[in-house]
Amino acid sequence: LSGPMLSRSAFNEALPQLLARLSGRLSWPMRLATVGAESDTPVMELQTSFLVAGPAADASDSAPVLVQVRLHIGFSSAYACPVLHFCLSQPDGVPLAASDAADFVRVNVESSTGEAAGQLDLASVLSQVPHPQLGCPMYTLHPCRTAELIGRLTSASEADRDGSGEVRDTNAAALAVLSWLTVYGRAVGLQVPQSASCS
Amino acid sequence: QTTPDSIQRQVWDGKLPVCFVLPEDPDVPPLYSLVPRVGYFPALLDRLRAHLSRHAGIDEDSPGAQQLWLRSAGRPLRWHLPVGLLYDLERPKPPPLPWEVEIRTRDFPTDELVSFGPNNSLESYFLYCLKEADALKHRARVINEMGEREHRQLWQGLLNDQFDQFSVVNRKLMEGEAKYLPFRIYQQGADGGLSVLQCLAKPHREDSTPLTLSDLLRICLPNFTDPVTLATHGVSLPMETPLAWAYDKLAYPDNFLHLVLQPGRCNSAGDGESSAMQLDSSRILTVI
Repeated sequence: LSGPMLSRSAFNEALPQLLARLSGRLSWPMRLATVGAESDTPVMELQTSFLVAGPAADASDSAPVLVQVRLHIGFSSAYACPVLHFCLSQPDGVPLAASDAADFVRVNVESSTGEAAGQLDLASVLSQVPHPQLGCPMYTLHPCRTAELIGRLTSASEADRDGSGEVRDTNAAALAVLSWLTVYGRAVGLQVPQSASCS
Repeated sequence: QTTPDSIQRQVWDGKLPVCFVLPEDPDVPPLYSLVPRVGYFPALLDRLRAHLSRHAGIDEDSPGAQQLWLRSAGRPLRWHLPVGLLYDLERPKPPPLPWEVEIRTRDFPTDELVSFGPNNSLESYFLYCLKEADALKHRARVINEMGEREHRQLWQGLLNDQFDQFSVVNRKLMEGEAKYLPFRIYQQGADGGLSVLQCLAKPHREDSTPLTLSDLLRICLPNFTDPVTLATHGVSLPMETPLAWAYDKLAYPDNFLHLVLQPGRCNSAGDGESSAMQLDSSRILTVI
């Protein structure tokens, strides 16, 4: 695994900075929440909620379809990297049907990456799972490749200045999480403005 | 190596007699099934739908059949958890066998239950669990080195009750030095709420002696002082059991050691009253 590892404590310490960087640029409600504990360390998340355009229901629809996204940005100790959990519903709160949820993510990913329809094996990376602390069903993207990405991002930012193999610099951790969110957030229609990574 | 009478094989072979009833229509006969403790209830959805189609006139493609869910003792069954774990969690104590489980075709509790279906398969969820377990043990190196064919074999082995088919691949995940051991500790509250504890636990203490279940409890619940027992597969474990040993012998096919926290001390002989691993054959009328 390349690059220093992010720890839950480093992630927790970076969250207020992440919140500050995002809430200045995005007009949605955002909050830090403690959702549980892992031994002595609190399990914290950045939680937000926003409306985005959904995949078009069909060609004849003139009204834009809106999707309410409830997003929890948390940390996976198993993978030592950030993880997204999200709920998708119609603006009135009715959860999207599973097929519509999969379409929503697929359309967002394809429009970001330009990958042709059908080539992306969404089923192998998108699952509805119980939230690890809250227990309620939420969608998540399997973090299996994320750890690699974070490792490369933290390497690039010299986050491991004391050579301990762990990210100690809060600023570097916040920027790494922000860079990760810029990539993964696109799956749920979240566009992180570039200005968020400036001081 | 796993021999036919090994602990791992006995864990795999453990089954629970379950009686599925449809309270919405008492004229529908119950469906009896011997369900593997290490398996999952959503794997039975097709059989349940076929039963409802045959006996309750509920078409398999109807919304009722598609939105089917299960209840026990008045609460939704959290069917992403293995069957045996769900049984062991029932309060105040595991129900008499056969375990009566209700089939529901209305009011799917979307804010409580994961929905399994063509867009969210149980197989993909099982793989998600395996990946997380391997991330803890081996930084996901072993599971990522396996191809899709081996991932499928693990699932098919579990689905079809084929221990050898499953084990030949699972052995790769279970062998070698583990960085952290995958486990979860569950505590069912009286109000029906479930608390799940998970933290990073190495196989050894700082002084290289094996980490025990006592140590684990102290790591996960630092300020907890009440006497408690940890149980799995219906059996209480002595607190001096090394975690690594318990993991190797008693982990579920999803590669997690699922432990139930119970109040009170463990007798060294284990819980002799537990009928969880024994079949009460006199009560099984029809097995379909």
